[in-house]
Amino acid sequence: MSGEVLLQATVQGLQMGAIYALIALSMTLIFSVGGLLNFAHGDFMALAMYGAMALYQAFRMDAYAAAPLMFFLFLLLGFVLFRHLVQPVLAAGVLAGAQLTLGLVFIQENLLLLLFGGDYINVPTVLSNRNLGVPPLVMPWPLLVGSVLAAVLTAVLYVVLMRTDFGRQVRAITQNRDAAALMGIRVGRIQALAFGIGIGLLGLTGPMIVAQFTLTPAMGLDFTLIALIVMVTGGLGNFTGSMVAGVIIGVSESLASLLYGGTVGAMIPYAILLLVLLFRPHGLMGEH
Amino acid sequence: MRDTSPLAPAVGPWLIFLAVVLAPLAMSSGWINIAILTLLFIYLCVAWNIVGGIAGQFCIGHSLFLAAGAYTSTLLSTQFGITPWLGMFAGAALATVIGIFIAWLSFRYELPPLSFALVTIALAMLGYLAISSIDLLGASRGLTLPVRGTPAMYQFRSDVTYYVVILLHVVAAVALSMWLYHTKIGLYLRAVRDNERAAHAIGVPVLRYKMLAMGISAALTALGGTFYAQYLQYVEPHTFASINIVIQIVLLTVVGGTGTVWGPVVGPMLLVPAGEWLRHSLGGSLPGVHLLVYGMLLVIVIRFAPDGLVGALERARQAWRFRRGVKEVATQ
Repeated sequence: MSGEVLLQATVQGLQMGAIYALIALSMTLIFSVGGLLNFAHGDFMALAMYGAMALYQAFRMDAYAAAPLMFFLFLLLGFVLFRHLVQPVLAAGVLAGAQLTLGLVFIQENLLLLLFGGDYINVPTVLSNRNLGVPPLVMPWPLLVGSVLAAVLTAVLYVVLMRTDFGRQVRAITQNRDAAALMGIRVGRIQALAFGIGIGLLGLTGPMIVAQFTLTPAMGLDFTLIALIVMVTGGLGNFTGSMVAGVIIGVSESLASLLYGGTVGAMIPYAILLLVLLFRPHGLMGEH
Repeated sequence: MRDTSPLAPAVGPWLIFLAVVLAPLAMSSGWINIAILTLLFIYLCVAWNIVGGIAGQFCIGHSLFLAAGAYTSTLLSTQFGITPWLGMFAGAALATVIGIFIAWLSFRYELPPLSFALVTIALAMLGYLAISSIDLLGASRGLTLPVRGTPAMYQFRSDVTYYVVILLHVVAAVALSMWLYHTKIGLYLRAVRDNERAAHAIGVPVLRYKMLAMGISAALTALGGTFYAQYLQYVEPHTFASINIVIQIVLLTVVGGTGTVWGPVVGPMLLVPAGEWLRHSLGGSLPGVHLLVYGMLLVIVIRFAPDGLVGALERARQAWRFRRGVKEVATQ
């Protein structure tokens, strides 16, 4: 095993890690403002990917051009969904909320199966099958663009949360919802906006990384699980923790796949999660 | 005043139950398979409800227990010729140990709400990946049970016998769940569900009772796993160990009413036959349509009655009795 191969796998892991971190961050955003554990998170991303595919098949629209469109569509979808479905259910408790999202999993997965069939689908884009050679590395363009975009979005999200009024309101709600409401923050609206942005980010990310994946109706669950693992490993509701954990899990998964094969690679994120829970149950960056 | 003993609302379900007992005498073989599947799901939902409903801990790891039961009894029977009638208890013991360990792992510290769901879903996935890659367990192909066809090996010629066996499972599980619900254990578990800190403050050993609920639920689920394996005569990761089956169990229980005794009975009883009918009549042209309908029903029920059909019925009944009471007072 040469050093170059290891380096190649590490870089690829870093790139996947950036994408994982973004998916986990949008889940963290939704979780921290409303306490909603969104088991349908990855399915929204799968929905966005299939949306990009449908746009390509109908209008020959490239996935990268579809991404901004899908962002606004999903922002709206998230906002409406929160106002009319999630918010009333959350009033009955976070448990009911989590169960609701399990229902959404079944709806989305089987809707995709009904509409597009169970076959594996690849969506061609302008960047498909092109590589960037930076000796000694070879990087597929779709992954490079997807990961850079994920990193940029993560940075933007961080700045928005830390520096804008909306961000301060989100953080206030995260810390103490009742006190935030007493300070005049319109909790319901901020929650709906945060949910919309969380889902909107998936609408944007899905088409941007669609060239890197093969589409199947059940793919959403894998994204959900990775996002959950990253979120817990980093410390539930901890933004910095999610970023660090995303990279750690991306790299270790990639290296383990290279050294021990795909099955071990797929198991590594779960094993990391278990170790974290055993020895640092509040997450790598979590506070007691 | 009318006598209102706590068991009064249970009369209706018992009548339905009687019909269920007599049903296979009038059923064709297609319907009896659906009936067996329905009873199996009732059984699994009742088992899940002990930890997921009565104790209020949202566990998504029950595929592990189902697989522990199915694979243990099957391996013992194929490798060592041990009858599944004994093997099922070995499976249940294994599942209990796993369940108690998971509960201990998750509940030692006070973690944010719902982290239990995260831990269990991750472990279930890990189990699925492990089972699908271990050759001794048949990897992704699974294991086939040799056809011996003797009742001593938990195999029957007639589906009616399978029906009776799973019906006995259901009766035992419902009786256990009713008993649990109304004794001290159930009271403690419900106290933990409703307000964990308050329960802890008045001296409920919270961790121990969560572990107990998980152990009972795991053991029951494993017994169901052995039955399912014997009925299908094979075990295979996708059917027994994937998260899909747990989501289905949760969904059916929630539609019926989580945390009630009869909710996990009512949910599958209504939905599984309807789903199977949909699958048989439309599944060829519209794959997944029955699961789509399950999902939509869950969303509708949870939107308008988060406590499920049993909870909604209970509220309607109380409202009716209240109105009648008002009328009686007015006429006096």
